[in-house]
Amino acid sequence: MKNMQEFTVKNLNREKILKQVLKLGKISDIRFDEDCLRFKVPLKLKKRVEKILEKNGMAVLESRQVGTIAFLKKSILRWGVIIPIILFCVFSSVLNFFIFKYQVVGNELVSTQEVLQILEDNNVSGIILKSKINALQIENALQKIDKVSLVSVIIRGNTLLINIKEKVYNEEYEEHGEFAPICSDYDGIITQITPIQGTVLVKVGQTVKKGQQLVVPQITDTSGQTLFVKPMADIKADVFITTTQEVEDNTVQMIDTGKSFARKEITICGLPIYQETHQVELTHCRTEQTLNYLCDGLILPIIIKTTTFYEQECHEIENYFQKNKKQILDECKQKTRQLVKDYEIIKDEYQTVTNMAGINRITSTVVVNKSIC
Amino acid sequence: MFNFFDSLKQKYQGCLNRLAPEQCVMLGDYLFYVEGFAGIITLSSTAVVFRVKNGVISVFGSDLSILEMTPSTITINGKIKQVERV
Repeated sequence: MKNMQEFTVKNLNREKILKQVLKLGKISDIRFDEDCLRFKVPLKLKKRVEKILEKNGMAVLESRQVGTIAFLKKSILRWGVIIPIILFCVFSSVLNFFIFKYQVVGNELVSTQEVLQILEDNNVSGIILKSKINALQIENALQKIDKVSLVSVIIRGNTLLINIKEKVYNEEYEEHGEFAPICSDYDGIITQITPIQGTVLVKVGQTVKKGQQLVVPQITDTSGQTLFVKPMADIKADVFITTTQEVEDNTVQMIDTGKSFARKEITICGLPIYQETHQVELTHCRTEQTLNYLCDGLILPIIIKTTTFYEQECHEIENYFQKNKKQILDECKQKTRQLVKDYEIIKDEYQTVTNMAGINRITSTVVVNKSIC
Repeated sequence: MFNFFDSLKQKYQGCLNRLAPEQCVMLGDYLFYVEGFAGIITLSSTAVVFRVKNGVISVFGSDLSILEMTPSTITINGKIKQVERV
């Protein structure tokens, strides 16, 4: 639908009028009857046509727009359209005065419930007028949470947006003064030091004892200030793992003679109610004890304790160490190796035997390279 | 785009001298289109008289109206009974 201006004029000298209007441009839909002349011109010619009509003293009976714009104007000006638009605008503007939703973002350590509880304590909950919200007051209240570093409260549409920036804990400078120095867990000679944090007190090649301080929990920065930090370092050393065993030259071995006897004792809840009292006279003996419940399912546990005595004789073995030296040394070596963990590599291994007053002292040593802290 | 008058000129070149400076088309008895329009002389619902370059064309009928009028063309609509050129 083209946008046109329709004129209806009194039917006087219409040929002359049309001739003049025609000079301006195209004329459409010219209708004429005995009383009036009706024609349409493009909308842009409206004023110029009006001037021509006025100049020629023509009485304009009707002048109206036709086309899309005129249709829209006409439609918009209808009450059926105007009233819903007005109602919508009023409804929207009224809704804009309220907060319906609360959104908390950026919180990981602080729970949303905790934040909403603080809002509630500040009388901000449910559907509330925007004008009643004091963003600064809410921000100050939320700032009191320990884990919160920065907080901003924004009203966006019908949502109260709470943006929280939580504190980032720097482990290096937090909790100062609570760190213990790193101490050596083993005796050994240091082979490698990889310092990470703290001040290292030892150097490569130094011999350290178990419990000796290796790294202290403090550093001195460029300004000369001493800061307490968590000591961290990887220190490796050749560790000497030793076991000692003492074996006499001559030893005494106890051998069972084959004689034995048993003594029984009955107890209830540990209290003896019957005990065999016959006397036994043995110079050397070894004993074995067995416990048996008299009957299962009893409320009171009645136990029969049987003690068996085995008679033994002493036999002195001369040059016991010399005779079994290889076996004893192997046993000692195996005992030492058991102290080495599976993933540790044995660098060196040796044994020393010292004799003093008939007692042989065997020291078995394994050298492994391992982290000592 | 198809041009009715150009096609006619092309087809009837031998008769070109006899073609008038204005060109007219009539569709049935309800629409009359003229190129070479030069001005309105008379307007009524029963007769539309207008000038062309070398004469006058009169259209007679009933319920006549002008659909469109530009400085060089005119389109007449209505129940056309008679067209006369002098």
